[in-house]
Amino acid sequence: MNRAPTIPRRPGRAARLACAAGCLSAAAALAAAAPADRAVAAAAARTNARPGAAAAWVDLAAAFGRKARESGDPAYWRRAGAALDRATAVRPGDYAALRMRAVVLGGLHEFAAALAAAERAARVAPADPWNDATIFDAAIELGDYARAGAAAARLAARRPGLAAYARVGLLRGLHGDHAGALAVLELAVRAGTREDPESLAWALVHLGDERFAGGDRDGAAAAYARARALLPGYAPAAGGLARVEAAAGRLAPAIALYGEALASAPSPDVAGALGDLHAERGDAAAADDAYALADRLARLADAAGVSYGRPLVLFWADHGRPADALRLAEREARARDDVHTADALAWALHRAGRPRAAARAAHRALRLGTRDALLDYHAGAIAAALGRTRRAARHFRRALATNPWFDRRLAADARARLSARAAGAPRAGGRS
Amino acid sequence: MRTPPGGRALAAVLTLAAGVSAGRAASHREAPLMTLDPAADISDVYAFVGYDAANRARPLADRRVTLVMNVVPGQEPSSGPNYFAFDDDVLYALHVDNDRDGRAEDVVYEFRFATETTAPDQFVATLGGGPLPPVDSPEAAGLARKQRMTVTELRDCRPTRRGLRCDQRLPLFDGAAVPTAPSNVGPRTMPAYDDLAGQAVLTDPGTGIRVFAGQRAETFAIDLGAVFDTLNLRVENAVPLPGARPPLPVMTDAEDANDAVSPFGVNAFSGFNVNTIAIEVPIRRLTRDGGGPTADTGTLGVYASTSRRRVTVRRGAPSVDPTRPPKALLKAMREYQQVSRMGNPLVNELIIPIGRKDLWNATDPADEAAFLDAYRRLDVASALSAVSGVPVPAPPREDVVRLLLKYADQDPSPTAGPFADLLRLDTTVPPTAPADIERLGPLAHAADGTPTPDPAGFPNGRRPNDDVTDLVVRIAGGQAFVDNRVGDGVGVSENGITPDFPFLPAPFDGRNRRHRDPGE
Repeated sequence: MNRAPTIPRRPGRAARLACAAGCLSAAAALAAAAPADRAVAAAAARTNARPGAAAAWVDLAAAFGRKARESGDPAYWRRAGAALDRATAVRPGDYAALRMRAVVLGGLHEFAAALAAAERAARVAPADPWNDATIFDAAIELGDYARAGAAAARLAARRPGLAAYARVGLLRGLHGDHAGALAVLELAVRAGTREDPESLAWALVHLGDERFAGGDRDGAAAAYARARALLPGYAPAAGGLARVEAAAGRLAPAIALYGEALASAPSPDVAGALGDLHAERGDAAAADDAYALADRLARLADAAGVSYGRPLVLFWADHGRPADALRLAEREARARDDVHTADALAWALHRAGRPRAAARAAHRALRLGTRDALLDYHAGAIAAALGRTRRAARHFRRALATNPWFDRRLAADARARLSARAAGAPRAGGRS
Repeated sequence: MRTPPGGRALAAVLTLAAGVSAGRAASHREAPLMTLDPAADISDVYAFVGYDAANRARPLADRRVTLVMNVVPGQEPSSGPNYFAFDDDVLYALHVDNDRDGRAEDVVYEFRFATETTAPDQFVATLGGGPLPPVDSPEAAGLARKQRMTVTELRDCRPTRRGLRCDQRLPLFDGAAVPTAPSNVGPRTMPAYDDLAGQAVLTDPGTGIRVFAGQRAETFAIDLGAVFDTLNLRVENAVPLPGARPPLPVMTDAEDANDAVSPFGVNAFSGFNVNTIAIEVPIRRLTRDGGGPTADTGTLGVYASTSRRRVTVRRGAPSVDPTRPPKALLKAMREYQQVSRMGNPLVNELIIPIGRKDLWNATDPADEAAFLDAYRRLDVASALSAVSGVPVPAPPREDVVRLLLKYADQDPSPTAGPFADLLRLDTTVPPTAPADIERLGPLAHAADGTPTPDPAGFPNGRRPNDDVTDLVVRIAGGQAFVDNRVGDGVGVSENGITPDFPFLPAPFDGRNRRHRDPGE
């Protein structure tokens, strides 16, 4: 039952007139204005009119999911889950509700449960690429890369398009194939459409991330800027742009952009990054405010049952709370085995003064051959703490070669350590 | 599959969760739930013997058949500043079966697009009638982006895992890229749109094949809102069907016979545009013996497909140059995977269950046997019966299987294949003149109820104005629905019937577009 009534999908006449004067993004901007609220209202109207129709409840769950992604408020994922409960109550075994369950659990960061739900749905409809996508999404978070790779291959074979290309690109990037990742992510963006701005913006942010990971600051900024124009208030786009601006040392615009990201989707990692920029500018009061906000947001998310995991670990580890960082990192590492959780654990162990365990975790973080400057920097600093200077230098050099802009402070530190070594610091000790 | 205006998610509805952000990592970033793919979304397919005066005047052996596929459905005409195009990464194809074996790879036409940005500094993509001369040709300076098409005729093909392998391959127009018609922006920019679009109607000198690609007005007419609200057809002005609960709207004989007026339905596609690929081919080029159509050779099976580039996940051997993607990936990207297909209308929407829609789209129609249970069960008929209380024929619906999946002269036994979802066109049936075309084809009747069948319409092929909604409701519902003239109350769309190739009306222009309500 796929046909739906006519819904005017374009902005009003005023916006069009404004565009005749040359504002290429304004029409798209208005078209995307608060679509989630509209989707929620429309779906809720349908469930009120026909509470016995399972499909309407699944639509409502989808609309709440969209609202959750837009606002960054995990409470909407709970409401999505409640809508799915209604769908299964009126129609036990409803397949649309079953396959949507994996999405909602993923939104709640319950990845193991999401994987189980996705595989349950895949047993009911083995040929539905939707389930390949949800299996991939859960497996990649859990660090089960073999399973994620198999799911991505099935998805790409069954339904090539933005959803498949973006996932294959992500996987290739994680495995260190930067050029392949870029090629596939560009394909993903080309397969996108303005009719579906959220998916296109999402693919653009992934492309921006991959470009930035390879040190292409301008290319990354262009991709983020396109996503931001397409979907104003899209926090990942503003956050990506902020990161590029900060990397270029343009602190004022970076601060403004982080503020924009926070305003639409408050998250502790963005608040922490904002605090760092204020601190770098010497505005201690503003920095403290941002750090306090980060802390409050982290506790709120925790209360809602959604963990921010790695960004919070890194934030705490670098902001004088190594014990909290380690506790969270260990909890995360028990639940999942992905390379970024391993990296966070490595850094938390390092900050907690346990370099040997840190080195083991750092090794695990680099097991896929991911070219990610921050992973290499962390591995380098941990190796240096163990006195393995040659290995440390190799990691620092690779971090800088991968992306010289990855983080101004850390990149400067890597350079300083390398030049200290070149300036004849004794080639002491470390076997490495 | 059809995406209604408003862009609801239909085509590829895939979750896009997947976290990993901030340099591929950090906070789980939930991605959107659904992805739309309008450029690869086939909304309608038409196959008919052209009903233009020239073709009607030709002897049977010299007649031509027109094949049409529509994509990017539900275009709001006033979509400035960005208008609608085909996708350079999508392979568009029309497939013909000429020996009734259900395999539509005997003759295949492939359409590829290439977009050239000629004026990257221009502030909007289309400009004319002010700073620049009006856009009067597909090559006009005011078009900052120009999309061109190449067409290839393939013969005697076999599907393989890597795509079609064909014995013959003939690039039309000597392989040259031909212009396509741009979106109709409005009368100042494009004061003579018909002339402009006419320049995209081109004849290949070697074969006599005519092609057209570009924007057209939507002729598919349906009360989408009512039909997809579980067949909640509008009853306000309709005659209730006795015994039905809630009263099922029916038309009077006179209302049903009048194609030009929609008695009570709301055409959801009124005033919307679509992108069309049309090709007119001498029937002789399509018959298996190369002669004019006969009772033995004249029936063709047709479907349309769109395909997207393949990618591989395995890293494979890294290229020597780390800035170049691995060879295995580059090789895969030159191949295609089918992502959408259409033969008969409404099959994907009304028959195939949601968990198998993508699989169905990726499947060769010759392998339709895998979906036979859905055709036989025909859940939409049960739904029709459940909401109206009017009985429908009991499953298994072998009548539906025979109509949609088999040729007329095929063994009617339920176990005898081949089963293939193809539009089947008997090209020996003469075309009906535009003034006499009946939207209900074989079920047409006069105002007093006397049958006046028009044998040149669906399910004998399909013409742009055939009312497949009413036909499908009546076919699914059975004799009670046929006799009582049950339908959505939407007739032929407001543009009427276009008498010449490409047989679809000029698109609504961006400035003066409107969407009509019933009674207007």
